[in-house]
Amino acid sequence: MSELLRVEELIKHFPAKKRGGLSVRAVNDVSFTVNEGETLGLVGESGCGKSTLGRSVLRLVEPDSGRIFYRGTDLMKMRDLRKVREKLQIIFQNPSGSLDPRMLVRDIISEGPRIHHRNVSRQELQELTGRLMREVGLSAEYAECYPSELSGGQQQRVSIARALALDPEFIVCDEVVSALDLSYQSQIINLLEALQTERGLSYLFISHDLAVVRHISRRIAVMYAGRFVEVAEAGELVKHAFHPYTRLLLRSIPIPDPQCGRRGTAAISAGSVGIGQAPQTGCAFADRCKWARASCREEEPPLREIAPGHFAACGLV
Amino acid sequence: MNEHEILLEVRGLKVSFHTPRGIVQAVGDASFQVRRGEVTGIVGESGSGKSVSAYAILGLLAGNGKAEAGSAVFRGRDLLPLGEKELRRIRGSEISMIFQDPMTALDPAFTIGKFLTEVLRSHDRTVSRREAWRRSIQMLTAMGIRTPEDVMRCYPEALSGGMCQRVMIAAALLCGPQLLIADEPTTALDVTIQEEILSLLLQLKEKQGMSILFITHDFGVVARLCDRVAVMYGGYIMESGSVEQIFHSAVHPYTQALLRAVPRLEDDGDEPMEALAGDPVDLIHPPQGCVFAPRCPQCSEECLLKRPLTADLGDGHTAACHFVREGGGIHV
Repeated sequence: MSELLRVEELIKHFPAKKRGGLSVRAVNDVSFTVNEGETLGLVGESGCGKSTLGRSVLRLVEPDSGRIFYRGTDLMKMRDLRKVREKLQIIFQNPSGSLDPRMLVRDIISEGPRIHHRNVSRQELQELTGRLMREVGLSAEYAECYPSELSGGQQQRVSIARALALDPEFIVCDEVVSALDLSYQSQIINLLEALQTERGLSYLFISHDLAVVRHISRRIAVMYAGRFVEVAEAGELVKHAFHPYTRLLLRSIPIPDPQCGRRGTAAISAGSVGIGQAPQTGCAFADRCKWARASCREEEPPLREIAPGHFAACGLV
Repeated sequence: MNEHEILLEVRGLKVSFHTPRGIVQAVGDASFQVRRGEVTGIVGESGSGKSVSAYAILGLLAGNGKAEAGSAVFRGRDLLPLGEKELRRIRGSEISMIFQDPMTALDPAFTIGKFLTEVLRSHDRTVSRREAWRRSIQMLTAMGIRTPEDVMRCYPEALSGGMCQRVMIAAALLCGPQLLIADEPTTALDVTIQEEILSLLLQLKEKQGMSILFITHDFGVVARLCDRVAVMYGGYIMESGSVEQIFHSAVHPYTQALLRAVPRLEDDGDEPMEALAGDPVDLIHPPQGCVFAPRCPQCSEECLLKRPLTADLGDGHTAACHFVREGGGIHV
């Protein structure tokens, strides 16, 4: 598999709102690659920077520094991103919020090609829209509907068709199933996987749900406070998680079986119960980590390879 | 106090909303119960009527909504015909409710201390400010908050989502209710924080014998917390029983399909996920027969024409499906 996207030392800090306040280090020195036809899963809790990272990679949020190579070209050095925009797409969490309520479904899907390929005839656009709707499993009658007339699952199919309209190679999927009901969630996951096989797409699949990420991804990156704390092949990460945060995450997921669901009442972890911000020096997880040593609060541990293809950023390595 | 005393018994609940597009039948027929010291879960997808059922019990439906039939008997008294004045006496002091998004449920202009003491004093004017403050601190401590004095002086914006939900639970429990209704209280929280809130609720149940009606869409949460479960779809209870019955011997095709669609950590992703085809029920024009029939893999002609009755399968296990009665169940 050859490399499609390589991100190096990406940084995005948001300035403090109040004077003297701390800036928010949403993405803090993150590097990764995504290969052709591969899905990289990205998990982490709300506010960890996963969405900012997804948007920074496409320069929808302008990174402070870093390099983003798409097929060898550094996007950070490009003035006009329009040519690559076709190939790099994004699908958002909330389909009703990311579809223009005043546009018909067919216009939403064909908007990209209308802008990028000025000389396309109306008939070609119509054919393309029809083809895309079939591909994502939307019946043709919805072409003349407004998004509000569709269910959440159908709206998400429209978002997917819109992202596919310019024949992309890489799609950032930002919590695309989080707002959907269980029955739609699996429909959309299956659709994304089928599209990947047919079109050779690569995904950066962002979600807070480790079980969903595990299903769709080949490799998973775990993000905490703006950094990758663990990266490994999906099965390896679930079975042999190393980082204390990943392990807490795995332990916290309620198991859908009453017999193993009752693991006794877990001790309340200290971190969330106090008031305060993540520390600015040392490991960001140290305050919530029961194995933390004094050295963890002083030095920020780098991401190190602890087994072939398995990386973790922990002072205990 | 009887261990298995039924605290709340909802029977034949029917709720409709009048909208410009027509009458939305949010709950067609729902019956379930909460026993003392137990957690009953109502699980379902959006639009299944799970939240509306709970709101109807406390008279919290929006202006265009109405509980048209049924009863909700709480400690021997039907709550549905009660007026606003009587309900106010029950809400907060006998039955409390917590909501999905703790951040919006808290007033941003009040400190936590002001909010909590207000809750106590509005239910009982004889409580002094000092006494209210003391009891609030005590309650926050019981919620596992280590610095209750600091939290009391904070405005909600200074607190994390998990902390806000702890404050909401504290507020809900301040007046010592017998029943807590929790409407997706952990859905907006991260899993690590969710786990903390769930273990807190479990402690309240085990140590204080709190009864909880827990509304959720998450089967993992149900397995962790609930004793009994009712599975709702399109305004009807499809199946109900003990948590073991639902997870290990579900008989309704909807319950079975939902359980198969739950994403599991041990799933390596080699196979496609089990999906439930089709779209949810149109509540303005609900199907004539079984509401699940249009999506059901086992659907027969009878299912499309006739609404199934709820069959009793014994040991508190019930299911509403035309295929189930062959199991020897008795008709209710």
